[in-house]
Amino acid sequence: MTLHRPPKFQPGHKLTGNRTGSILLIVTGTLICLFMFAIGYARYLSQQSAMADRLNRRQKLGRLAEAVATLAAHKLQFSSQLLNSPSAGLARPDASPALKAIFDYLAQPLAKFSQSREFELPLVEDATAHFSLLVEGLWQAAGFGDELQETVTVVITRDDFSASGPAREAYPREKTGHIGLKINMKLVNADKIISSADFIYSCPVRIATVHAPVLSKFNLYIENASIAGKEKEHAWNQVGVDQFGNFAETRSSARPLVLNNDDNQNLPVRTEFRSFVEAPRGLVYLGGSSRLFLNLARSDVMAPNADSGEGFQFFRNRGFDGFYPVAAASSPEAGRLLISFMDQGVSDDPDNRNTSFYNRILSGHFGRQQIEEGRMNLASIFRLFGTQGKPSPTLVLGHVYSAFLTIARLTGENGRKVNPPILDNLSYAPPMQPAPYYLSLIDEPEYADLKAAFNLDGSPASYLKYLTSYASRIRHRPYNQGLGFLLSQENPDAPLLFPTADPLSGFIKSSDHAGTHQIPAPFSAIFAGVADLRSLSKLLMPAVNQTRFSYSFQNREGQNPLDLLASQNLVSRSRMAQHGWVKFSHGIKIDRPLAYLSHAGIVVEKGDLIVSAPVRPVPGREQSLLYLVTLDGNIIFDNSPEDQLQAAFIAHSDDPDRGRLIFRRPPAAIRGALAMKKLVKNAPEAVVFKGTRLTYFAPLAARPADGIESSGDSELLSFSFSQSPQEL
Amino acid sequence: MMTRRKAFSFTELIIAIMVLSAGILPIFWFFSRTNIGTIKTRDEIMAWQYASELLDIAVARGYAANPATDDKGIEVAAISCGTLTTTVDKRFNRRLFVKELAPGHNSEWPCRYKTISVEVSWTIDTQPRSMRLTGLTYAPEN
Repeated sequence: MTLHRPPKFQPGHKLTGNRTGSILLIVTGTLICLFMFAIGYARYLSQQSAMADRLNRRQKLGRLAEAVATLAAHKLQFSSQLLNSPSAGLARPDASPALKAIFDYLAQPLAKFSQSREFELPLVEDATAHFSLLVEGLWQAAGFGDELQETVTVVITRDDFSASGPAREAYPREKTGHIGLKINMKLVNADKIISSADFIYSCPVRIATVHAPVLSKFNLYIENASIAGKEKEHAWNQVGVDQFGNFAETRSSARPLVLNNDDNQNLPVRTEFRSFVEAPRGLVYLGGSSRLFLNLARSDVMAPNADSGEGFQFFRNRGFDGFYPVAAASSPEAGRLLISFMDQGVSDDPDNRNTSFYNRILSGHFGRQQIEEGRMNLASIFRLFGTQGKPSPTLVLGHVYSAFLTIARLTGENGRKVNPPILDNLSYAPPMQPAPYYLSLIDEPEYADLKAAFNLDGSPASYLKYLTSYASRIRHRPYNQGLGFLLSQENPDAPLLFPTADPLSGFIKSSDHAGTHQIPAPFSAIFAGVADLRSLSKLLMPAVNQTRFSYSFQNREGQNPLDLLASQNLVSRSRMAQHGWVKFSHGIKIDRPLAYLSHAGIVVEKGDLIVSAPVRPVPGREQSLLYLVTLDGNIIFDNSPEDQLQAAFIAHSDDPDRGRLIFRRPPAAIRGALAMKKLVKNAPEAVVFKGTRLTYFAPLAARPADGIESSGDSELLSFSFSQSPQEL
Repeated sequence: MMTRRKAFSFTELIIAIMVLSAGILPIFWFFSRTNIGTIKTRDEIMAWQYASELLDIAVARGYAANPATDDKGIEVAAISCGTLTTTVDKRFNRRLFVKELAPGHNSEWPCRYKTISVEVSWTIDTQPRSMRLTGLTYAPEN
């Protein structure tokens, strides 16, 4: 094989001369590669280390952030209860600007929420200065000092909430959802931020109104006020009253239930229907198909502050003259004759001052029958419009009538005395007792003028006319007609002052008309498909919907609620610190004084709710209310006579023997409202019924939203925050 | 002759080895150091897991089940749950600290608090290391 040399190849040329140092190049190249790899690897490792370091620090701060979020949620829940607004008489965080802004925002209807809104929530403020101790202690335990700073921001996003509550259109402030708690933890050294980490927590919140729409508008609601189920019901008339209109305790085994329907605001009577339904006034509903005849209690001009009398429901001129003209005619002999009536309440006082009225009616067979059937010696258990000393008008719905004595007087022109001066109730013929008898008298000279003027004779038809038009007797009228004399007591035609075009006029004229059982507007539009008041169930069930409850407890019958609530941090120094509604599975017994800090509701699913101790808000929270509801049981009052209760009560059951309010030993007074299926089971229970003073809690009259104005329940809102926020 | 002349000279090899050694040694030292960093990171992660595990359990047990400890805390090397027991590595020491948090901060406050801290300490490369996690537990105020 021949080796061919290139043409310019020089045999003496050294081949190795150009290769010197090439190994160094390879080594250097290798080293450069190694260095580059090392640098990359180092960077990777340092990044990994930094990441791990950051992760550790974040985890460490994260644990603290969780503690801060818990404290923030507790501030929202508890500070809002411990702070109060003395002017509003409510638990309200007005003293904390941060909390106030959040609560004011949350109180709005959902439609008014922005898409998202953030609020700073410093833990330590003037009003919550005690948080500095908590934060300091927490930092110390974690090994930090001033170098650690926390910032809490509450993020409220509209999409995180949904409308809730029993009447979402009418009371749109109720809602459930969650707020975001953005916690920023910052490590600072000489104003330089060393580390900063954000954590977001979710805190469920429930905003509920403490009321039962429609029912809360009623100071007293009784689904079925019939006792014996008769067409005419007189069994409510059980209360003895003395001649001055004071409760006759020694003669009476029953005590009246005295209503104040406007929270002692002394709201005047106006002639418009809306002034009753839209004003902060509690209405009354006595349901059932029976016609209820409630005897008005006697009053006397000598006792203007009587605790039981109802004379303010009658015409009185100058406070005492109660005669008003009803019929006039002329007699050839006596000239112009005038028949006047005077209405008076009932009393069982044996004093002549009282019995003289009765004698005029007892003188006739039908008068006696009326008195006996109508239990006309005893006044009704109810003082629906208050008492002589403290009248409190309202609108009464249901077939309710007031019954009273009417004394008829006959006078001549200018008050000239004629005979007979008083038109007694008369029997038609003997042997009815006592005398006199119509047939015997009508032809007597004493009756001649009357007979001539009013075309009376001895016929039965004439007797009937005399008895039903002119004689002293028992009369009744629609209960609301008494409003006329509350409007203008010195006008005998006061019931005619109500404009006929106004719906109120219907209630004045009749207790059996289209509106008798209807839910009055604007409350009538609250529940679609529920137009009338006849069913407590239909009105109550939406209000005790599961979505309303913040807590549910499984309990034994008869447990004290405070013992159960304490397990959920809902008790502060033996005071109930519950915001919103809770449910108990079985009956509870309030046998220790129960003071509450804010609006709250307790619903008992099955069993009795026994109240044997005072129930009141703590001082400074007078405008707070506790709602106590049993869904299948009775509410039993077994109180000391001096106990004061501020609570609204609803007793419901499908069992006809339950769903009652039983006043075993009534408290001195209740401020709130009462609603029940029945009040007494039978007539013997009515005989021993023990009532109390019931004052309506005016904020319960909260108006529903009407498209122009927001709902009026802002003062009844409760805010329940979860105590353990969860990290997102 | 041609073949012999194509190889590197002994001098060249010696110089190359020296240069390579001088270059690689710091790289190896560097790799060794970074390995320690990795171990440190691993230990920190383990420490965080140990601390987190105990803190979670202590918080879950609740306020009453965590009596306050003194400043030295109590050592909790193992946690048992039924038949399962987890133990910290021997190189680690785990202590639990429980303290009432500002008990008198507000006499009306419906609940009271305790801080629960878990400290895990260990040594790496003769250097003592520790980490501390702190959480909160609360209970109704009686």
